Amino acid sequence: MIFVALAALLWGLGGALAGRFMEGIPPGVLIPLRFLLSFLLLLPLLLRHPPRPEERRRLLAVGFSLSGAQAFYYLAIHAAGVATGIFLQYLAPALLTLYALLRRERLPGRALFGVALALLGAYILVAGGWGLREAPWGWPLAFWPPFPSPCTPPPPKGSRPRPW
Amino acid sequence: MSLGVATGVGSLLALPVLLLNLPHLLALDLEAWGAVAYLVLFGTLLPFALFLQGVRLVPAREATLLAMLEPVAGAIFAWPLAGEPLRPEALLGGGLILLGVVLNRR
Repeated sequence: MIFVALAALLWGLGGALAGRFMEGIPPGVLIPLRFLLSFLLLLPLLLRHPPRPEERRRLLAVGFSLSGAQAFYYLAIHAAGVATGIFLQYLAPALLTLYALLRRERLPGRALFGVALALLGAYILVAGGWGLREAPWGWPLAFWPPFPSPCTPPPPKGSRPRPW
Repeated sequence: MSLGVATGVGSLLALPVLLLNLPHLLALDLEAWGAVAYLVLFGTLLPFALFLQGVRLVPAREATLLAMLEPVAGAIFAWPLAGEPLRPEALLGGGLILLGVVLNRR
């Protein structure tokens, strides 16, 4: 739990810094550069511990999910606006809760109430007093397998995309 | 390892975009490269590694809920770092997210 909370703190800090230091970098440079440099830093590890043949298919699926989530996040922001794109990303816990219920997992009522509260909180925090008024045709783009993915173009005041 | 594969796939997909933006890339100054380095290390590698490690220990549903703390942290950090005061909506929304996370603790 502490690992995920620390990751969220780092993404939040990055978001706060993005507005100040990354506004001048075009997203078309920042996003590919982020992927490429991260990959180059991880390449020695991958070469030293290459995935076993039976792991490759699963890892490729995870790879496509992660990079697809990034790509569709930006496409959704482009199509439907920053606030809508961010809010749709925060639907992940609700979608996973729905999936758990469909699999007949037993979830306590307070957990379901907690997800609803968090979703309402995310809406209020992201949309602020402005609401989500952007083009609804961008919404389907955000429904890539739920996975966090942060950083992006300058947000409207009050909506802060993840720093990557 | 999955992060390495993910960034590799992402690099392949994003490389044409970077090549199209080559003039912008070459024009980046030292401060911009510092921002990119921060983004790569502390906005990508470290948090994603932490998140993927966390997903091994808690169900994905709870992990994604915890990740919703990110906008709360962003709003709090933006106050001293970007000089953006905490708005009432941020306080209310952040409080509801925190309550939702607490209610989902096992």
